[in-house]
Amino acid sequence: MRPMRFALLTVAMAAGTMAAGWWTVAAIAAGWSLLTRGERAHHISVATSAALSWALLLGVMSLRGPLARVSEVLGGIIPVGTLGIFAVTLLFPALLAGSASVVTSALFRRLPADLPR
Amino acid sequence: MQRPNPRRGSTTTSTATALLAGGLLLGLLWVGARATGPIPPLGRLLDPVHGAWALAARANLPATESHTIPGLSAAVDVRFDDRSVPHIFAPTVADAYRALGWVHARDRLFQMELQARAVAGTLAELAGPRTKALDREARAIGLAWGAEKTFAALNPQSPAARAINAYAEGVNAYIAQMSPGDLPLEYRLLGATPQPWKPVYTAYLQARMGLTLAYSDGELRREQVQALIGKAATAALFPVDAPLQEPIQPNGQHTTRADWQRIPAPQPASAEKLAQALELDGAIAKFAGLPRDAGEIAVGSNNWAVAPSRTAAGHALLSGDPHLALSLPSIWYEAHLVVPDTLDSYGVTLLGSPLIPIGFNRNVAWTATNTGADVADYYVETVDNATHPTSYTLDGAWKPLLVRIETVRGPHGEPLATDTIYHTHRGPMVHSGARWISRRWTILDASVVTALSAFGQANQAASVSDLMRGIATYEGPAQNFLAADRGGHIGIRSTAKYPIRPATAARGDALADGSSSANDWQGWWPVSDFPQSFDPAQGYIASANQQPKDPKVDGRYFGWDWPAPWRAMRINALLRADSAVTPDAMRRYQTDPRSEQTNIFADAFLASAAGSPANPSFEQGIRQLQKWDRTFTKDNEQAVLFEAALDELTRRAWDELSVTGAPSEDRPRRVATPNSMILAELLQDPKNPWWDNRSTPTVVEDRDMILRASLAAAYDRTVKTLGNPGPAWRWDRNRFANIYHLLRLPALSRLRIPMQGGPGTLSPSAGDGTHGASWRMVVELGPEVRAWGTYPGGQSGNPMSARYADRLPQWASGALDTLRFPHTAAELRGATLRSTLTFTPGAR
Repeated sequence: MRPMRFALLTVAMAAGTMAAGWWTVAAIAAGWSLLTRGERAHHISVATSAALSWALLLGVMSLRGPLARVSEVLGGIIPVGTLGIFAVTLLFPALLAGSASVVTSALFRRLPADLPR
Repeated sequence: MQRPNPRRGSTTTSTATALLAGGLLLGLLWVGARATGPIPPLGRLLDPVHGAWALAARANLPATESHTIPGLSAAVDVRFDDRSVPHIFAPTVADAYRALGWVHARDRLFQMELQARAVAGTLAELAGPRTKALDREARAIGLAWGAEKTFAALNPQSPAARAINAYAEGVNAYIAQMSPGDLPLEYRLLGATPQPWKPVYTAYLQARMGLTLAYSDGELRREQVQALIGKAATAALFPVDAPLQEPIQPNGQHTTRADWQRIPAPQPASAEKLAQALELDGAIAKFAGLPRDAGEIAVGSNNWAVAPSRTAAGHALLSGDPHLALSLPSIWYEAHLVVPDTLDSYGVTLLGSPLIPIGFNRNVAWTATNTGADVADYYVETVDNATHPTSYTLDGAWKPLLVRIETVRGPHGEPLATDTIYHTHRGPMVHSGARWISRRWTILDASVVTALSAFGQANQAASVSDLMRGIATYEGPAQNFLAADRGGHIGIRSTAKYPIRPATAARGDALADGSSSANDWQGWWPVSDFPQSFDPAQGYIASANQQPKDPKVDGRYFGWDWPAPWRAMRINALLRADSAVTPDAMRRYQTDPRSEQTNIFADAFLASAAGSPANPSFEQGIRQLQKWDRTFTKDNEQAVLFEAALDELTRRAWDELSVTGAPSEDRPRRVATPNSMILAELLQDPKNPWWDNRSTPTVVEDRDMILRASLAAAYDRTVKTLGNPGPAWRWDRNRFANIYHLLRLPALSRLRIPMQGGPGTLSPSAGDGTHGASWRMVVELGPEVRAWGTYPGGQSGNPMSARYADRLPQWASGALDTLRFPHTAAELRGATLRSTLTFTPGAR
């Protein structure tokens, strides 16, 4: 995936999460896969883009409050530790977007690539 | 041989991949949106913008903010000081309560709803079926039923009703303004959202405090003990009058009086009677869900006041030190309410109520300890049908039972359990074996109005007498209200509705016959008869849950099984010895490391060594006790042995109180444990049959044999657990405060906090460490009131905030913060001002 498209997808996922919530990463990944059908699939890039979008949002959140304390508390509740909770938080959207991308590609594989997008 | 088709293989692989991805996607969407067992909805939790991460942005107070509250008469200025305490400057009292409701909700919303639900029996609607049993118990007790009954009788125009409604308006204004990012963590973990706050919840809170502070099931437990050891021994082990007298109302003796008596030998009842008595376990559990006997609980509140004649600066001093079950967030929330010419009151508030039950204003300081009077009686009722009764007999006539159908529901409204609760005119009944037992309990009748009016007047009082006049109508839970004023007056009164029992009936410590109305309560004690003292000649007053009045001064029944007065004895000893008390001395006394009981018991262990046969463990134990300075300081290396020895002694002395219960119980359990004061009484009688060990039929043990065996066993146990005497025996490595979060999540709790203090000290630290000083306060009533205080926790209920538990280190060390008490909002500025919040009137 080209860097510009990757950046665009990342920004879209971050904006979607801000506007409507966590599930939008799956919806945007699915939409992206539908739009790019016929091209070489980039499921890993989509997943990476989702993780990066949430990483960016966490970065923004860190400017507004003590993110380290949050990770300490959350990492204790879901017992994965302080760093583990960051990993889980990034892995969750990555798996969500990646799987949505794979499923969409599989479902719409047979549609002609030159259908109106 | 057919060659494999690579294309078909590739298609199969991609189909399998797609199916796997589809399964993963569905699974992630499911766990993202829905709670799965104990795992909260992950998507909603981990979302960086709307999930728990967003709570980082709510961790710190903004420098300035403004909001609207419907119903405000004019703008309200709230200044949060550097300890995050809101100083609310409002044009009217109702506006102050609205603003307080808003900040309570902002900082502690989940706690408020949880407390209300615990009373209403609707926890399962929030937390699911795991809390079903708690809900059933709450409904069986009838706390919400009682609160709703008294709330319905409230005149909507009364000051109390206006206060409750204004407070609710503030809470609901906050809930209405919440954004998704504001949702407290606990709701996210439970996948729930806050419910609107109902004014009746304030009455629920009052009922809840009644359960915590004024619940007693003594008659039921006493009947079990009587069946086991006979009436005379029961009366001695669980006496109506404490054998150590250091009453709240000074008796003029200036020292503790020991009224030791001989404890009669146990006289077991028939097996049939014992079996019937043990059936009461069911009633005990149904009425309050209380655990079976857990021994003497190391808990207790203290308060004391010193007259100007005995203070260094010549101003009255007051110490408030209420002890409760500890939790995070704390039960308390500090606040300062200011309404020009009307109210200028600072102290701790309870989440769910707009008033300040412990605090001070410009003239008076007030605090409370629990009285522990007997305000609940139990009656054996005669019903028309043993399983589905419809009526009960009273004075020879059948009376219809009030029937309450209670359905506990789950988060989606699904019914989890339905119970039928029967009431006589006295209160709810429970079925226990073949008997139906009802309970009359003042808390179910106690009006929230009187509590709010009482505290409302206290908050605005100008003197001790003014405060006591206002608080005289307070109905319960019974409290030893202590006050001091700038005029140099001090005073205490144990206040509540105390029943007058008929002379012919059971005294209050035994089950009564419910078929006769002659056994019902006949009225209430007049205030003039309450235990009380004002400006006593001794120059100080202290209470620590001990028997309030010396029975030689007033022999009327007021309660029984009073806590051992070790704390009261220690406070009084400290105050007698100090004729120039300072605020700092008051602070030090709150965590004083000595306990009066150590002298009695440690001396007894040491004396038992005389002429004893050699036993290495006992000799080692004696050597340790000889080295002991009798304190429970953090670095003490002998206190842990003393505590173990006392535990062993208790177990051995009261072995006759153990029974083998249900087949599921693998070992005998004690039905009840006499408190340590009674054990001290037994020490006075070396040959008493209670010293004999039932499990050694061929030997008759005496006191010293049991003391020696206890100390030797304690030494062996301690060595086995901790190794040889040394640093591992340090008190701070073995006894801790454990402060659990309301949901008992370890990550949100603060556990294993080393503390000074042990059994019987003013700040007891023993057992499981879940009880302790919930608020410590010292007030000096000089020309300008000065105050110091702290509590174990922090103002914020947000675990992500530094304000969640920022006071714990201070609290654990026994230090107090200086409490800021500004006259005007402008006085808080610079480093002392953390945040400014402005409320303006909003549309309803």
